[in-house]
Amino acid sequence: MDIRKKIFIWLSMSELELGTLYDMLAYFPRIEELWELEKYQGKIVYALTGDEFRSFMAIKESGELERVINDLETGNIGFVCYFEQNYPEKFIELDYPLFVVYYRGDISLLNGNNIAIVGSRACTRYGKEQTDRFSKELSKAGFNIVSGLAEGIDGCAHTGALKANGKTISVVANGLKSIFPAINVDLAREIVATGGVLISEFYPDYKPKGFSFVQRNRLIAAASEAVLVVEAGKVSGALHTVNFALDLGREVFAIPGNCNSSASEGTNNLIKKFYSMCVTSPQEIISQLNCTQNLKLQVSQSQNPIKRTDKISNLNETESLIYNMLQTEDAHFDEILEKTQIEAKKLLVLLTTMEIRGLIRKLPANYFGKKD
Amino acid sequence: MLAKVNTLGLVGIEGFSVLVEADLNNGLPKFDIVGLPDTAIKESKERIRSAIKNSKYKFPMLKLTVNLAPADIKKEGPIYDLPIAIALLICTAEIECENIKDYTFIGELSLDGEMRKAQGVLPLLISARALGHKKVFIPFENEAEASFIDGIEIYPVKSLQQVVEHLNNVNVLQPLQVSNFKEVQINMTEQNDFCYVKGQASAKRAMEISAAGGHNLMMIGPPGAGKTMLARCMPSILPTMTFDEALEVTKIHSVAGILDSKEGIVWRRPFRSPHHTTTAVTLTGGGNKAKPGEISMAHNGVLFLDELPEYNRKTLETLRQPLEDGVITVARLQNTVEYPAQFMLLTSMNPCPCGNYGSKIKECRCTSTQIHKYLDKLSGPLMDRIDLHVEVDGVSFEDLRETDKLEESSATIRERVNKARDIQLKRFAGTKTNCNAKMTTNQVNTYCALSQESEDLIKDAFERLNLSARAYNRILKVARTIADLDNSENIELSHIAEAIGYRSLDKKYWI
Repeated sequence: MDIRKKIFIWLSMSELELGTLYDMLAYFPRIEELWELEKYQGKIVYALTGDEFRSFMAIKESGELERVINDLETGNIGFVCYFEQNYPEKFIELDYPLFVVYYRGDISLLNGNNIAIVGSRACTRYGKEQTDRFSKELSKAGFNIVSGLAEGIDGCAHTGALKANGKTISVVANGLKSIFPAINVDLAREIVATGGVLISEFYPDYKPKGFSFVQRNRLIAAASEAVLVVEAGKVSGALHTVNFALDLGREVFAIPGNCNSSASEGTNNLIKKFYSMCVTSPQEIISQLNCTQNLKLQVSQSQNPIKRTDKISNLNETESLIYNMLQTEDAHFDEILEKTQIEAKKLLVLLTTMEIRGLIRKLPANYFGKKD
Repeated sequence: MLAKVNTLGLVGIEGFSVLVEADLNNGLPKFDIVGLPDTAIKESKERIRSAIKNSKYKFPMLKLTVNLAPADIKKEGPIYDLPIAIALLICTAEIECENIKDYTFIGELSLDGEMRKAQGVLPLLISARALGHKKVFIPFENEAEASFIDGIEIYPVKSLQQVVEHLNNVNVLQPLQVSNFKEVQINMTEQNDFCYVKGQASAKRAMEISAAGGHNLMMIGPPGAGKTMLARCMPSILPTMTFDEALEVTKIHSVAGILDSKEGIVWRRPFRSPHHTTTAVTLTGGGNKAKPGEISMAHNGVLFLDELPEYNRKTLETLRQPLEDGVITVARLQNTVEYPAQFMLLTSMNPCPCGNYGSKIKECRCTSTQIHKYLDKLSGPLMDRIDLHVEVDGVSFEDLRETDKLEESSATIRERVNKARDIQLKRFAGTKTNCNAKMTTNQVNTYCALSQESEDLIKDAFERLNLSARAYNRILKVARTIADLDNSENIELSHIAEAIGYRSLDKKYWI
């Protein structure tokens, strides 16, 4: 392997701040010199403190670096260094671009039209539904959906894109050897299998720490043209993503929530303070981005495919009453009972058969809703 | 002089004959009881001495030896007071009775010679009848439970003096009249009635099916949705107990000491709701005296576990075997006791740690990991044994509440349940099965044949709704009960569809 690549991997493994490392590089116009460093003397004295130097050297001396390099040469985790041709252009805009980007899947995806959908892990059903809707529509319009592979909104954003046969980019806060949280292991596999990509700034064995999640959010913002916040509490990681996005000059959109919903407090604040544009439909995002970024994306047609009409045509009176009732809003079993005035047991039979026929959908807590 | 008197002992809910032998010898005054007595029996010496003295009889100042035969089975409880006292009084010739062999005595004495209430009298009497005892003296307070036993003369007595006078032909007592079980049942009234529960139509329907077929039921819903209230109403729609069933339950309750002395026999199906801090032993039975546990006390009735995930997981796992076998074997140091435990499991739980998952009114912000963790407290094998899942929501529709729409009363529902249960009893006559829920695989194949149309529906449902394979048999059994409630011989399409509607935990939309 090229010695420069080795040095970049070494740099990416260091826990020193990127700024410090860039400062150090300024003292070494010939980067290969770093490889020959042995003692705390010469130019390095100007760049690092003794402790910093020792921690930096420890990575190489302990054999950790050698092991990681071997792993990368044999394993299925790809990496791209700053000086290489295929280094994602969007990351160059960062104040301190990453030395190495580790990835699994198709890294060229990062150069496409990307939009990040982020939000709280602890989300509500409303949040999940909206994420699903926006993710699908934006995906159909040609966006790659960027998110963080966390539970809640992040996971929904990825699955929404997959449902629409779109591609999705997942920026994770850990090394790519393992997936966190474990609940999303299958999702991660599917993302790669469908032509998406998992990317990470951390070397493959890295175990996530608290700050790495915040650091990761910076990449989510950098990788995208725009950031859409679906649900974020008053204190939410998604708000970090928004700050990074604003710093980088990305567009920020937010979906409003109920004014009494604690899950939407953060997003509602963003809208109140004009940090983000309030959106209620995916089309608004698309036309806004077409305008500001000179994209030429098509707004997809109305959501209802035609084939459902033949299913509806042979509904009887009660069935179509229920069907039409659920088109506008989800309803509780008791509400439907009240409207239809038929026996509870008969209604249950009716609803179950309609569900099996794919006309309606049962929701938790005895609610029923339209099929999406 | 030597005296021999009959009495009975109890192991679990089965009685065995015990012979009390008393002997008077010359020597220093002493009172010994041998034959594996427990502490309560050893202490009976003092009670007997005072009781005899306070009944104005003579207590012998000689060396007394009392033996409880057979000497190899441990005897427990204070019910031997009366037979020992009688044996002593025969020794001292206070009682002159030639046919003392025909009599059997059960009862605890108080110091003044009065009789006290004893535990386990009903199972003792049932065993006494089987073992060929003819005339049995029991404490007066146990009269009610004894009054259902025929084919044996029972004398409820208030004091030692009454017994002695009867035996001496001074004041002869009349044996107890047998009560009619049916008459008692007619007077049934329930505290909780479904007519007081507004709305909740789907939950009520599920409970009706559950009661009719003996299916285990789980209610899922946010706090305050009325799960517990619904559960409390369950006894009011359970099918009426047959006399044999009632006797079985009474036996267990008598041994456990929870029998109501006024009612005598348990004619209501029991409804037991142990708190979630309960231990495995209180649930299954055991302890020092191998007492029946909650699941045996719920025999032929309902075991209600409120907030299921709050129970200790190990405690819940102990339910698996009794749910399958209908009996629980409690082993202890001396012997092994088998208690029947054919109960219907009624459970309730919140859908997630905060309880509001899926609700429209209150938002739930539990992450999917939290919900998974919460539901993981319940093991698959246990969930596997629950036939019906019904979701109860706490939404209070003001307009619903305001309407004066009359809700169906429990009595009407119970009528339907009884009819459906009768059909089942006829169907399974001569087999061990007594309700649809307990059908064996063979019986399912015989009695749950499906039309091609229904078969297709199930197949469709499995594909579309992601049902788990283990749900298949459950759906068939529940559909059978729904068909019985409809008085339909065959399982129709609508029955299957409704049964599928009660499998919400199997579906993927959950989480």
